[in-house]
Amino acid sequence: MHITASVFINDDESGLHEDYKKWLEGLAPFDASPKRYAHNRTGEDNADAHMKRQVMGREVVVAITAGKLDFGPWEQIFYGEFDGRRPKRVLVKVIGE
Amino acid sequence: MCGMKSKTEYLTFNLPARMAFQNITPEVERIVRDSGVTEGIVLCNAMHITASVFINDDESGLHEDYKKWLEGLAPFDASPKRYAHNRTGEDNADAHMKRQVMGREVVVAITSGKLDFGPWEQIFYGEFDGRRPKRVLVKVIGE
Repeated sequence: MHITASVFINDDESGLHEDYKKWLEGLAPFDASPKRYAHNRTGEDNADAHMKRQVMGREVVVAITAGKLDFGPWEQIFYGEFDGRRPKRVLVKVIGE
Repeated sequence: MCGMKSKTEYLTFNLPARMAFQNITPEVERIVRDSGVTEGIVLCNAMHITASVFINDDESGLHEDYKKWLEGLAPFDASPKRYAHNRTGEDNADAHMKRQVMGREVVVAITSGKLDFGPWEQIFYGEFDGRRPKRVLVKVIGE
């Protein structure tokens, strides 16, 4: 529900999570300076987090079949934080019959 | 949800290359037709974490451009020196990243029984660690 965070599906493997962090930092480096990021002219320092979350995605939509999450062998849902250390929410909505 | 219909199918692909794109729009159209849903949505997602389902142009030049671009953003490298994930014995860390750029799923509107597309939208399966059987889930819900 926050524009500097993600919900995504991928592997629950800690090495991959380290790889994601390095990779995202390379694609959209943290820089508090408004010289680099016009968004930071507002006084924020998190322009990079808005970009990182666009790479990883805002949401997932998961099929429910026979009452269960219809996953492949390795799918796991993650909350991805890119501007943390404050309370942030995730919405979960189930519809169906 | 009185009167809701649903239909679920699994498509299997085994693309002969490491990275490849396949247009799956006709298969999804067939599933929507068979469902009988006239107003609803269809979820179409890759069930593997090194593959994508996305919507874009069915133009082969663009597909070559996507391949080069993705390779630049997240290069293939089997070495665990570059990618910690590859310490597990896997060699596909790059594929986990490529798929995050292209996306896991699409949710397409069904209007009057058809996929409600703009002029050029086509659904693709995107493979980033191919040469083995992998599944796509297609779930239609609506009335």
